[in-house]
Amino acid sequence: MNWNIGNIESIFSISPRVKVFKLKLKNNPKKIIAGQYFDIRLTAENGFQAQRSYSISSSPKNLKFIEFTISKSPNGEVSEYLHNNLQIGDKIEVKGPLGNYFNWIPTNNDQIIFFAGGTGISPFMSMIRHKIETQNNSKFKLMFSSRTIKDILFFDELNKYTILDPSFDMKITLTREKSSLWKGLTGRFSINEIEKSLHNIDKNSVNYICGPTNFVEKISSIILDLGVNYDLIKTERFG
Amino acid sequence: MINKGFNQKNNLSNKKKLPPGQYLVDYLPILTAGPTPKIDLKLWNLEIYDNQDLMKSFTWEKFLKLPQSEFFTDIHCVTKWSLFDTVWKGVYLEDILEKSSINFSSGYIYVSCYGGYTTNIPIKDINNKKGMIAHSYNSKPLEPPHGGPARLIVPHLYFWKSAKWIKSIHVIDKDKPGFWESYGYHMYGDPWKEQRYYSD
Ligand SMILES: Cc1cc2nc3c(=O)[nH]c(=O)nc-3n(C[C@H](O)[C@H](O)[C@H](O)COP(=O)(O)OP(=O)(O)OC[C@H]3O[C@@H](n4cnc5c(N)ncnc54)[C@H](O)[C@@H]3O)c2cc1C
Repeated sequence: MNWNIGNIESIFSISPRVKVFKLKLKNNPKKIIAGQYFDIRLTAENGFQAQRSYSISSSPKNLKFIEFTISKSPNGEVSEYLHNNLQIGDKIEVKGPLGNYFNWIPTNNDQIIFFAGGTGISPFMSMIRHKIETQNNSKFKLMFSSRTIKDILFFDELNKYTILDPSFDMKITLTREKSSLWKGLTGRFSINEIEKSLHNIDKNSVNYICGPTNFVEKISSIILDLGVNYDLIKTERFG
Repeated sequence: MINKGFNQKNNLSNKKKLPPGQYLVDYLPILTAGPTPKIDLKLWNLEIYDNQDLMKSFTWEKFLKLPQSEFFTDIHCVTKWSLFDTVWKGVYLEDILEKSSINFSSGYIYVSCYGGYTTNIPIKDINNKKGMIAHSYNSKPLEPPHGGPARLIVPHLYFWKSAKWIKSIHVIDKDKPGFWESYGYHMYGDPWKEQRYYSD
């Protein structure tokens, strides 16, 4: 697969640490599957190159414009450049779509639980948007862990979907919110809360877990202990 | 294509050359397609097959009695990170295959793991101390998220070939794709030729 060129069409801050970058691709891919990612390659004037992977968070139906949802890693080589330097109209090298495993290919009547930590929501946004767009009737349950109210990514959009689509359901926990304005869950997802989420969903449902490595290790270990079949757990660790 | 204002940031002492597209890290990241399986050492077993025939089975105790060696090496993950100067301890694959009375001058190994992961490697890539089953990393028992109790180490190929939680080895005549190899990754995976994806 060759390197493609993405033209930066828009950049939005959606939380204190996260920006959404919309790119127009020079060569349109033939097909994108929800959950796939692109590699981004940056080149310095002295020839030094760095590559990192970023999930597609836009609907896979958009082959011309793709969106990445990227958090700024402290002192991160690539993500800091994308956040601090990249401007509308700039071009970057991208390769993709890649990844044929952490995907959702729509079939009806699926039952899926998504566990997202922070930007781990990115590949799931693509899947959820695809479900909503195609009016797919699969049952989606999103368990979303964020730091504070301000850090909840795509909050309004996800809320809207819970109202629009009775087969989409979401539970949010905030690990660092101090404000009493937040009436929902706080702290990490408890074993109890996770067990509840597994209750009203089919035993053969697939479990997707995405986010920082610690989050993925923790959640996958809990659901294994709760008896979920190993083969029904798919993980993506962002490092 | 130059990205104006972009500079190398995390300039870890980079005395050695990196394979193309890789960057240096100073810790061992974790990237696995599924959860970390829970493995009971009392039930742990390593099975060695010549095609379909079971040749030998090692319990944990027996495995630790095989000749133990140390492996100093650099490792390269297809997700772009590389880590220099790692130290693994365990048993070289050729010692295991020899103990299993397998004639392994040609062909492939097909490795299966707890949790169901699989991968394929040519025999020539594990001969002459090029591959090991390791149970310790930097002088400590290998932690489960990193592949403990024991994982394969074949460091001259991308690290997905170094399968975690190894359970069995089939020596086979005809190559067949393992887990990532069936999901679009390269059959061989040489980091120096940047063989990441099947079309590379
Ligand atoms: C398939 C895939 C999809 C991804 N999708 C997304 C996405 O949609 N959005 C997104 O924001 N990210 C995503 N990532 C992560 C992304 O690829 C980068 O890893 C991330 O942006 C950091 O890169 P960086 O160059 O900014 O930081 P780097 O310079 O690579 O590293 C800095 C970070 O590494 C960590 N680190 C460094 N040293 C240590 C140490 N000793 N111990 C522990 N941690 C250490 C720290 O957290 C630090 O902030 C994805 C990763 C993968 C593999």
